[in-house]
Amino acid sequence: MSMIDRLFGRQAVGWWFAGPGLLMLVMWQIAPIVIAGFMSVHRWKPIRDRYLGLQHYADLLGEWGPGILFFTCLSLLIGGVWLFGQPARALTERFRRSLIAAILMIGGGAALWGRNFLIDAKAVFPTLTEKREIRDFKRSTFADWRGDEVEQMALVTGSANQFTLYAALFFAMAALIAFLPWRRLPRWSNRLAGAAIVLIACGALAVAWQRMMIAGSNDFLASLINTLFYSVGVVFTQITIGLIIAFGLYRRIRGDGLFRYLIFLPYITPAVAMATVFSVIFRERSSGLMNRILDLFGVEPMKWLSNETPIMEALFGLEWAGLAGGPTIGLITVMLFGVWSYAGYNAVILLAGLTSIPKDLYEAAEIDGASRWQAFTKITLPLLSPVIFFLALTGLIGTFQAFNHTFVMFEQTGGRNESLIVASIFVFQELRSGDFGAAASMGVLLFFLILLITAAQFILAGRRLNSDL
Amino acid sequence: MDNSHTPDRFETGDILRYAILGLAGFLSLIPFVYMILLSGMNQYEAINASTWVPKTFLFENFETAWAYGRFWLYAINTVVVTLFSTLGQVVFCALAGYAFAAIPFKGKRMAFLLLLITLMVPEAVLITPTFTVIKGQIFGIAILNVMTLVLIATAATLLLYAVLSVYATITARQIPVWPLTFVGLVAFIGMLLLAGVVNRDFGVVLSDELWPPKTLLNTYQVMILPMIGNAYSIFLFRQFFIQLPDELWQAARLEGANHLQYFVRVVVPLSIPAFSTIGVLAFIWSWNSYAWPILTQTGADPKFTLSVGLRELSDDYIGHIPAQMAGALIVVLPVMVAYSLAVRQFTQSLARVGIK
Repeated sequence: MSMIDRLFGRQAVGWWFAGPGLLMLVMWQIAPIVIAGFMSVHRWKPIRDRYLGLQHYADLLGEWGPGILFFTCLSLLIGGVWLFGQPARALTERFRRSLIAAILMIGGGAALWGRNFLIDAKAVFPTLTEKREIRDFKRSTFADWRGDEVEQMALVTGSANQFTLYAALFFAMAALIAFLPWRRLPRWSNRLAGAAIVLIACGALAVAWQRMMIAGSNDFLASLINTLFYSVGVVFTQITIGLIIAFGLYRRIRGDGLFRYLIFLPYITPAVAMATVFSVIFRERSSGLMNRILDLFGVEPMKWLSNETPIMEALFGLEWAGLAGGPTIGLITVMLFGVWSYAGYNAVILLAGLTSIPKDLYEAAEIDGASRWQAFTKITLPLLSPVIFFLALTGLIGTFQAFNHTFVMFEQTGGRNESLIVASIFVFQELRSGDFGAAASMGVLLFFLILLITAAQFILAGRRLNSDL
Repeated sequence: MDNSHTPDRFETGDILRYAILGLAGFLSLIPFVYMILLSGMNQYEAINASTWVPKTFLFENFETAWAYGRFWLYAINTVVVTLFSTLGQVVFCALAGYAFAAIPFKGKRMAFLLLLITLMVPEAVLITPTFTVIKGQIFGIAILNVMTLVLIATAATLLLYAVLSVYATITARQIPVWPLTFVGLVAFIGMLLLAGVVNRDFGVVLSDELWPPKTLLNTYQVMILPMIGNAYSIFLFRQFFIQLPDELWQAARLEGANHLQYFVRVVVPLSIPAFSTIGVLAFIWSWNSYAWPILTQTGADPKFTLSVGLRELSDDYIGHIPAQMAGALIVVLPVMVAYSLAVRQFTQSLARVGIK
């Protein structure tokens, strides 16, 4: 094939059409990921300096052990849920058996490694004398080193014993599954193994998280938690509300055009401007709109955006910290804005999904004597699941990078309410402080998290999907 | 959702529907109403816990916001940035979307996969490396400059070509479209150069915009270029074009049309809803951009957009709520107008992405 043909022949037409757009995509959205990877292994403040290796990541996640454990456990968790949902006959006998046994063996190995590590640490620790050495050593063992020496030793012994127990449990289960001369595994084996893996992964995740909080960058991890609260809360709420609104719009009633206009309005209005309005609505003075509405019900005016009380404490008086405490009231105010601006969009797309469900299905169900609720759970939800999946996927990705309104509202508190700092704000602040390398490494970590979440959603929803997105 | 607008017969469940829709519509509307009410109040009314409506609607607040938020300057910036990024996005994403929908080519699956991956990349990942790129730390800025010029030339050629061929179709005249396009292009470039030579200031601005010496910081370019390639828009266009019947293309091919002619004369006129939807979306995205202008406009007179102007206004007038609300209203209004013009097509065309 000649050069001319290759460039202008029939095969090339598509590339000529798609080329400019794709080039811009590659240039501004694909290449930067690679560049971010390159930047994150350098000291880059604000120009390129020496090679640092994976130092930035270690600074963020604490030490290697917990960081790797964290991501492994996340993957395990997803795998466990997936396995739980598999019907007994979905996987071949051999594959399933080896898979389960292999996972259990890995778990056992990890636990054994942890045990040996702690025992070694226990032996080495008393020989250290220099203060710096001791501190570095404590950081490297990712164990809990609180209290005086006796307590510390007791704690370490306790953890080591726990790890021994885990290892024994894992190996026993692996042996049971791999070597018992069963003709075939019982039907509930997938469920059992799935549930076991999920439980183990959750436990290990909690351990890993704790260690990361001790050794890693607290602020970054806290911002991840805030992002998690924000994303899950907003996506779940906006899809639910969207579904309710879609139900309202489903039948063509008088004035539905106006309603559609109004409900979709928040989606298109500039986030920065409306976030400013929301900050005024939720201001802490008694003249703020929200406080005046509370006043109608006889409730005292309260702080909203700048309120750092976790929701569990505000509602039930439970003084839990971190993940268990739930989002703060300030963050919930920001979430309200997210829901307000995206519920209409969700409603419109869900409505399109609803109208594409053939009406005879409902008539058939009615003839069979199904109640409305049954019709909803047995017909509407399953047929709507591709749409819900689409919304959950794009919603999670979108909320993960929510910046404009979160940043405006964060600034409206004078930058004081740290519970409003979601990951994108954190990256932005790091970038403005001039540490490009660290900012890039955070971005890369976020990207991996999103990839993992997306993969999880595809794996978990995979069977129910009949749409190619 | 078809276009007939006869309401269904009333049934008892509709009371519930009206309640839901009424509540949702009310909640959607209330921040706007509150914003408008506050923007007309004076300072005392705004912090008084018992007034709902301003006694006299004060338009001074708008003057304050306009003057102190430097809105006049920022409005020009916003218009420039929004116009070019919307135009660029619509042109290039429509072409790519058409390629994905209608042209078989080698590597299409891979390219489409790339597109889907791009949908997932969060902005927090991109912002750092992109910022380094535009500062010229990764590769020479000349590469970006060349790219800009090529992009502008391509977009201008295509737009001219499209306008001319639509004109030829409407008037049913045989005109040499390609030669005329190139004459027009050369005339356009010549005019720009001439204007640059005649007016020195304009020449400096033009050369700084099209060929910035060391970095892209403090240019309009830097706010426009990253907005042009947008996976979501390409995807949306593809969803539209894929619904056009194949017979149309077969018929056009029998008449001797190539893809570009078919695209300009048949596909574009048939897809006005798609273009207006994505046009409005691109307009909103660009109008909303906030972090990127703050980061990249660092010079003595930054080319901030209105959203950033609003932020500055909030900083300067920290207690002056009416002025802030007036500023917010100024930022919101143009978008609301754009949305109101395209509302029907908008909701319907967005709905298509979700279901297929």
